[in-house]
Amino acid sequence: MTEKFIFEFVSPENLILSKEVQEVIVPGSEGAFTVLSGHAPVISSLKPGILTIVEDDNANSVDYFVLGGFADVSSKGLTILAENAILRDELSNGFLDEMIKNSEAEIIASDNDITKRRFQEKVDQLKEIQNIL
Amino acid sequence: MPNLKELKSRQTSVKATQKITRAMQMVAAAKLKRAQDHAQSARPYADRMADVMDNLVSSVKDSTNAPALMIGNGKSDTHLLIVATSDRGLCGAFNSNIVKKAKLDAKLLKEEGKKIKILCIGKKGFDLLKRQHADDIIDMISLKHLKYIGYSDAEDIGKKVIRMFDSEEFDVCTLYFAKFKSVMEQVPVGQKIIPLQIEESFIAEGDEVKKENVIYDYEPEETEVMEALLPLNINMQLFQALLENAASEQGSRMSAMDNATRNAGDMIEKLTLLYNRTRQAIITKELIEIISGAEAI
Repeated sequence: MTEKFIFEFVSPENLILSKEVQEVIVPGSEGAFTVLSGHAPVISSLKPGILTIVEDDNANSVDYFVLGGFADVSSKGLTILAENAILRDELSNGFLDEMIKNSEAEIIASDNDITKRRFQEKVDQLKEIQNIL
Repeated sequence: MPNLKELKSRQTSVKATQKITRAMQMVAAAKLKRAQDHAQSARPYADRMADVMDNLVSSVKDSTNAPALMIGNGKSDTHLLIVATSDRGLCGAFNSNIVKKAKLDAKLLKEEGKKIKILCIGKKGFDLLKRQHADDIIDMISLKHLKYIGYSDAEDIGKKVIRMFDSEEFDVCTLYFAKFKSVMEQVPVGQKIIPLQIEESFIAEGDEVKKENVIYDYEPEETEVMEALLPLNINMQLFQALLENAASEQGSRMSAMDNATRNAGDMIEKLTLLYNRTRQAIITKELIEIISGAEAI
């Protein structure tokens, strides 16, 4: 039995989850990483991806789709500030399509290269997720 | 002597008005409950965001290449005032209080020789400002079509504001809205959102708990994280302001309608008294006429 830590998962509109869990796999913008109890303090931005929560050994893991946001690992536990979070099972292809379309529109609308690249990355990541599902 | 028929019709019309105000009060009460719940559920995110910002600010503060959104772009020539009000009237002094505060600040800024630009969220604020500040208003965003305010709506406004900041259309941005204290009390506030107001919003509001100074790893670089987080923070502040505003609007409307209902009640009482008195007077007059007529024979 591994040690547990406090995990808080919040979106702007509500508190999605707040409980003790064993393991969370976070889609960090520099690559996915797994948080276990006693993880070193880190603040990481998130890329669009799947966030997996494992409550304990016997329970099934729960998958959420997040569109972006932040992970804050401290001695108190892990806090995820998600911009938009949807249960993986409730995620529809139409939603992803719309997100891709929005980001593509942003690429056309923006006039500086940095934002253009940022949204291009987003589109690529979203397409990747679409392929996985 | 007042006309009986006229009195009766006035009475009916006041009664009808009272019915309307009472219904509006009850609707506002129900909506207030919902708006408060919304504001409540947004709080955890805002709190966590403040914590993270706090940690970040303390580590980025000294670096020279801190993002412009945080420390400002070094100028304060053009001020953007975002005035968030409601789209509907009949809510007491709610809108005019916010506008009054914004107008006062606008005047002070103008006296200092600064340029101002105004972005209205909500039609009522626009209506109140357009006479005096017609040239300053750059846009009006109406949220009337929305049943309740979602994060994405705040995000859209936030994006617009940040785009304007990036293209140097303004240097300092202040957000005006009414903070919800209670049903009876809504306080209009002006909150500076660009550059980031560190002392006020984060440290002052934080509880007495001594912050542990943890050294964080940042992924990607600190400044990059900061750059990504700042827009989110602005969106969140906008979102919270809109939620507070929604609650304040309903609270204000509720007490305004409660007052109106009571006033209508007083008026009905007075009218009824006058009506009865007049009717009595007419009867007495007729009796006197009959009696004096009979006596004359």
